[in-house]
Amino acid sequence: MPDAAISEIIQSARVEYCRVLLTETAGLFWILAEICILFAVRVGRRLLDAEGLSLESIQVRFEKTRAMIWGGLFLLFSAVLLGRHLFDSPLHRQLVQVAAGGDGVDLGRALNAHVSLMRAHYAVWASFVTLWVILEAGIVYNGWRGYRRLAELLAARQPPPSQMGVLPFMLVGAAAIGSFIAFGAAHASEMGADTLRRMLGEAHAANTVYRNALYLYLRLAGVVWIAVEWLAAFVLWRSFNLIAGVMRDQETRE
Amino acid sequence: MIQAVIMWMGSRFSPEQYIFWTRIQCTAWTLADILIVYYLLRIGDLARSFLKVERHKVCYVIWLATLPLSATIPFLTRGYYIFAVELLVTLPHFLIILYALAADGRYFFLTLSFLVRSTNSAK
Repeated sequence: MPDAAISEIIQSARVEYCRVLLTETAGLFWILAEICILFAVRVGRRLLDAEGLSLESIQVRFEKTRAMIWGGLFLLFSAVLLGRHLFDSPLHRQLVQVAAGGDGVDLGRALNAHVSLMRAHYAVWASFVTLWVILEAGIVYNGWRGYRRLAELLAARQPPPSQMGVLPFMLVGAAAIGSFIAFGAAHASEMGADTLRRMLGEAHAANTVYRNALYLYLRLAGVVWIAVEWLAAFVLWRSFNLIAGVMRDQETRE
Repeated sequence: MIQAVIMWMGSRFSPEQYIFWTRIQCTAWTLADILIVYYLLRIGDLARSFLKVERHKVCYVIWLATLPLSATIPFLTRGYYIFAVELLVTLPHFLIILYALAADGRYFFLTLSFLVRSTNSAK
């Protein structure tokens, strides 16, 4: 095989590996942001439920401990998730050794490791998507409860009946599909071949059905995600109108 | 059974369909994100104006800067471009949300406690 072709394959494997690392890091950032928002919304809800809406009614030490527990769990989760890449033998590094004429590189094994790495990545991504939906649903649930309490406190209008009952069903469905993907990725069969191109092609083909299943799962979860996001926007819009209305009344009275 | 479900799912979806639906879905949730950030800043501004504190400016500028990028999402043709643009849009959005929650939380509850007291005394 010409050098240029090998370089191209190595470059493409390197880019794919970098994308895996980047997407997982970005995914962790999104999870961290969702956790912070959920934490703030829950503190806000506890404040709204507290007598006299006093900031002093929140036990700061207790909240700090809670924040440290959440933060610690997230750090542990991130360390385990990203730390597993320390044990990777990325395909591009193996290919560089092959191109340099290095002995002792079992290409079939390297490709199998690559297939396993990609399937684990798909499983991680499916789990991330499921987690975002769950966290976002938690934010919206607490936000909605906060809004109802706000409306009750300001006695401005009767809060409409809760429409959150359907969410647990959607979440269970999303989590179930995510588990299917994760389980399937963990039980993926092994494969191998002779030439580099054919092996890469087969490695790619071996992942196709899993990748397509992940894609379908992402889009199904996307429907839930959109519903939750628009619900969050709706709650904020209603809250804004409620507070703005009360403030207008206040100005009129003055 | 689980393997069969994955195979079934995998055989009924393709990368082309994925890109098509990703563009539509990504546009839908990015629009919701834009509204969420906007109304969060507006609520913060309500409390700030009530307490005569300077309103948000920089956050609105950053929020506005994400709009042209968001508008490109329906026209992107590759999954990775959509991911990159989504990252560039959601990163500032999340940072604005976190800043607004941290900076405006106290103003919001001070304003609210005043409004609740005045609503109750007006009854």
